[in-house]
Amino acid sequence: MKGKWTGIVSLILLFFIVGCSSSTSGSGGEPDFPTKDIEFVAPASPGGGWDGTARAMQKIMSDEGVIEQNINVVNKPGGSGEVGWQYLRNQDAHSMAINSSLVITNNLLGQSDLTYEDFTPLGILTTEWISVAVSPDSEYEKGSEVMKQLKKDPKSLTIGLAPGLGNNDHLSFVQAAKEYGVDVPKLEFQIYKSGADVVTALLGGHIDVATMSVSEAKEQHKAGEINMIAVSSEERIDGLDEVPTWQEQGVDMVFPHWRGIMGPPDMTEEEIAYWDEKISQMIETDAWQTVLENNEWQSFYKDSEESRQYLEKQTQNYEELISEAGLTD
Amino acid sequence: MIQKLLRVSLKTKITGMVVGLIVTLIVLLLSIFTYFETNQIFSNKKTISLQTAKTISYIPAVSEALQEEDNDSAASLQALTEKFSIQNDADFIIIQNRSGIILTHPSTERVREYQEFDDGYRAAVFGGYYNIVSKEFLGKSVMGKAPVLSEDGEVLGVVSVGYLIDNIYKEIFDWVKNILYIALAVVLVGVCASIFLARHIRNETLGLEPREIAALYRDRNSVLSSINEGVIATDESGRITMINHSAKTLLNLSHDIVNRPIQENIPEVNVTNTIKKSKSQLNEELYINNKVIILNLTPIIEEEKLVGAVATFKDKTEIKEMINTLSEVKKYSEDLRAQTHEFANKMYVISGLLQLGSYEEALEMVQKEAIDIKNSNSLIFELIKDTKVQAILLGKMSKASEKKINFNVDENSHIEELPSHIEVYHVATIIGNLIDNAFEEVINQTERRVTFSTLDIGQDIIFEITDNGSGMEKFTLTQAAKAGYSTKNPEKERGFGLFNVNEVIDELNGSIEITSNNSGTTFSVFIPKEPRGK
Repeated sequence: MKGKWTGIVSLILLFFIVGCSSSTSGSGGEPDFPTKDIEFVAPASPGGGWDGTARAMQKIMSDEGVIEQNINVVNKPGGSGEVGWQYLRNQDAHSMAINSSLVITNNLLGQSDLTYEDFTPLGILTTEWISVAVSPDSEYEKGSEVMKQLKKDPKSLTIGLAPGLGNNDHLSFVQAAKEYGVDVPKLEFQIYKSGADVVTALLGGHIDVATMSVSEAKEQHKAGEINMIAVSSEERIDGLDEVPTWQEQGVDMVFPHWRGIMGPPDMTEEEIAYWDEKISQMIETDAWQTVLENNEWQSFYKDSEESRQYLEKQTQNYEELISEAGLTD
Repeated sequence: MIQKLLRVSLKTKITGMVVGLIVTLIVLLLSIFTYFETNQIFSNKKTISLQTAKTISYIPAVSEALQEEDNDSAASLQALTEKFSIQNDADFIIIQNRSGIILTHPSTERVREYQEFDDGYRAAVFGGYYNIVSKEFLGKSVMGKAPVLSEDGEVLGVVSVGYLIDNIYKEIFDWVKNILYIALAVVLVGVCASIFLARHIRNETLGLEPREIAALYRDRNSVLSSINEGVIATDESGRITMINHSAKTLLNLSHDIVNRPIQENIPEVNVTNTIKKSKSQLNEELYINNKVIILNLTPIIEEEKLVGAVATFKDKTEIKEMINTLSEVKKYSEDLRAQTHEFANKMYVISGLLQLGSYEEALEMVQKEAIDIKNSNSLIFELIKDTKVQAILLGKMSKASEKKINFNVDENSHIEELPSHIEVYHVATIIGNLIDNAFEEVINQTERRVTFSTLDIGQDIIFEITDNGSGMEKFTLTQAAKAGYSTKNPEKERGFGLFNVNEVIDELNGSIEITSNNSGTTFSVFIPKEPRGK
């Protein structure tokens, strides 16, 4: 009887192994890549960060001769990236899409069934940082003072953000608050359509605190219209040297707003290697440096393998951040 | 222990196995189905709870009610959620406002209670839609959570739609129970079928248990292979169902002929006749492969129905050879008795002559006898160097003398000692039989004369026996060598004489020539000096 069972078990195992090996062996071929035009999917309308990244890559890769094939940028706006990424899923290795942490949070917040595991991460390119700003005539001059007040009474301040809950601006603020020990569920957030509206609301006194990306707030801060009191970066940002990081203020948190690039599922190792080579070539160019400077982006380069690991880690972090109130004490 | 467990009756064994198999299969299938069904039910509950929570959260009246928060709106929310509960079989639908105050609850006394946003955190803070398993409300349950959002996108409240795990398991248990009834029915059918099957098999095996059949089969095989008789069994159509080793050697069958018609291989055995008449044939003599075989054919009758036949064989040649050897020995003793008798007669004559005082005559007779014996014997001893041949000839001389036959050894005869492969049996059979035949042949003649001559010059040893009998018919010549033929008294069953001679000559690779006319017959036997096969 014993022998019979081992026989059955090993038979099942055999089927399993055969099944696995046949599924992996299928993705061999395609000696020369690429064989046709390249397509960059920007899962948003023209003008945003995703579109900007895609167009900058297109321009540099073509102009600098990194890739000889034609490169086209297609815009697939909708569903916080969902439309573009769903489109990418059914393309071949000649298509790729710009992504960001939304590829993780959309799923965690029940907006999408897709996760980064449905794609092939090819690289992380840039990051922006997220700032907290108050009105110049606010009684708070540091991020930690805001948090102190919120800890005392979470409902005492209204926080403005755009364009919706669950984005990085929101998450970054929540994480800082959580680190500081604020009762997060009680926080009062006010949602606006755009970053400009948030600034207007802050100026008009409708909100007490705003959380937005550094690039959105920098101009007004420089003009003295608003006061940036914390950034989510590790170190102070060039050109904004007077703004302290959260870490400096005793809030142990770094929160990048990264953008990367990913391909359709089931890419071969050759195809992945091809993109690793081309992207690393691209980020070395002067033109790319100029793009970073112009857009207030920082280089945040990670190759395909590092990206995959990073996305895995980020998913864990986000899950933790989103699921746990962190006020168990 | 296991051995003992396995030594049960066929019925128990089959029933046990079938029931065991069915039960194992049912348990296996049931657990697999239950596993999938459980997953399915849970996944359904998750989808439905989340879907319902979303649907409720999208209803404008809900967000309005959450913004207004007066008694009317609370009552309308309660009514709304109760309606949804019934529609979706949900155990509870709970709406909390932004502060965590419960606005709707299946048990109204809990309305206005505060429930911290712990498991509702993701919805309350981030506006997430998700499933969660938690004990937040009423007990452990699968919940779908959805935020109620304002037009701007701020969270106004959280909808939780839940299914209690206990109730889900009850649902699964009911499902399994129904399947178990069916399974029980299947087991019952299996038991009946296996009992029927066991009965059927036992009918086919004459009520014998398999191990008994195996024992019988082993016994039969060892019995059949241990006997010298050939045994062949056939079915009713004459196909061979069994043949033992002795039968194969006897009939010189090397290839496998089981399942072939017996007529194809041994046409001499008339099985069809036996089967047709369903009557035994006993002690039938057959001549197959140069062997005389005694055949017994018996039909196999089972419950007055013919199912086949059994043929048993004995090699009659073997028996005959034994008998013949015996008869040779018997002849020698008779020959010796004849010699003794002859000698006694002569002694009486001499003693008579001595009593009568005819000493001269007595002396004369003794001297004549002495010379006679010396002559004939010395001739034999001089010419014939082989002691076997000498012994036979001396014996025959006495017999001839008794029968008043003039038996001479040709003066030109010469033979050295015979090669070792020619044994006394061979010589006795050839010379003894031929001389005896010649004696019988001339017994009716007035002048009885038989001459024996032998020569071993050249490749062959030649024996020649000539009589002055009346000769043989041509017909008899060809028949002469066949078994059972004899021109002599057929009642006495001595016809195997020539047949045996023939067989021995064949065995020694020799040949026999018979020349016959009305003044006598000569048998010439040629035996090669070298044994055959060399």
